[in-house]
Amino acid sequence: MITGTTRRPHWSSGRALLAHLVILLWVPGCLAAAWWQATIAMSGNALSYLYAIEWPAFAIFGVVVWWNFLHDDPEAHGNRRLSVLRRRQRPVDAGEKVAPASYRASEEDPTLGAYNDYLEQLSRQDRPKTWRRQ
Amino acid sequence: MSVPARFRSMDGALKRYRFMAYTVGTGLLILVFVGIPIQIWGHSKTVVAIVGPIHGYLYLIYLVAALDLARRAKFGIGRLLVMISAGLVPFVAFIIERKIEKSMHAELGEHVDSSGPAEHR
Repeated sequence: MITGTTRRPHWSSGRALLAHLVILLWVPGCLAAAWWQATIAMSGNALSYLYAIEWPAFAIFGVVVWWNFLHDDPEAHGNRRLSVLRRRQRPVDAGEKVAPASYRASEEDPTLGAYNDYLEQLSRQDRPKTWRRQ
Repeated sequence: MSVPARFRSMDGALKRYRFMAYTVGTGLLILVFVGIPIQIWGHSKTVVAIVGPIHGYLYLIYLVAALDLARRAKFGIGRLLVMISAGLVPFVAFIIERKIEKSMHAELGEHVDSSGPAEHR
């Protein structure tokens, strides 16, 4: 477990506020659509009864997604970001193998070159960049 | 190589999602490319009246299957929104279903690799 980090509550972070805004538009929108279909159904279109039931179901679905979004596991969120980074990193890594590090080291100060090679080697180990735990 | 239990629970959710993606995708194709032309040029609402509500309720089941998969596989909101909107555009459900399946297999491979012996790296 990651403890001791000061994480802002899910309810007031930027992405949470955006989610509140979306759900505040979504639910009344669905209910308005349900009401609209209900009035059509009342005026004689039997099909619209089905749609009048369906729209509140979409509203409920939206609330469930919103709730899930706010209760997202922070670790899972971090893992997703990490796997996106890894996917972007891979083609770069493959390209770097073509360009020899020794070439660059000869241009630079040898100490700096060795240090850069060390950093490169660390980054190739393909592990989460964190001091917390492995 | 043994597969962790949480990946096995995702497998069922993936199968349910894929089944619903095919069902909803086919239903939408019938609605858009058969029902609506008949309604416009054939002046008959029969196909739309039957397929429309069925598709609507199947889409609701598709949404539940997509949400279930997203929860188990810990997808982000972005991927869930893509899955939701895939059921609304003709043909896209099939494409997204393929992408989701491929990416899940890739991620599964990644996880199995990193827990495996060192010589695999």
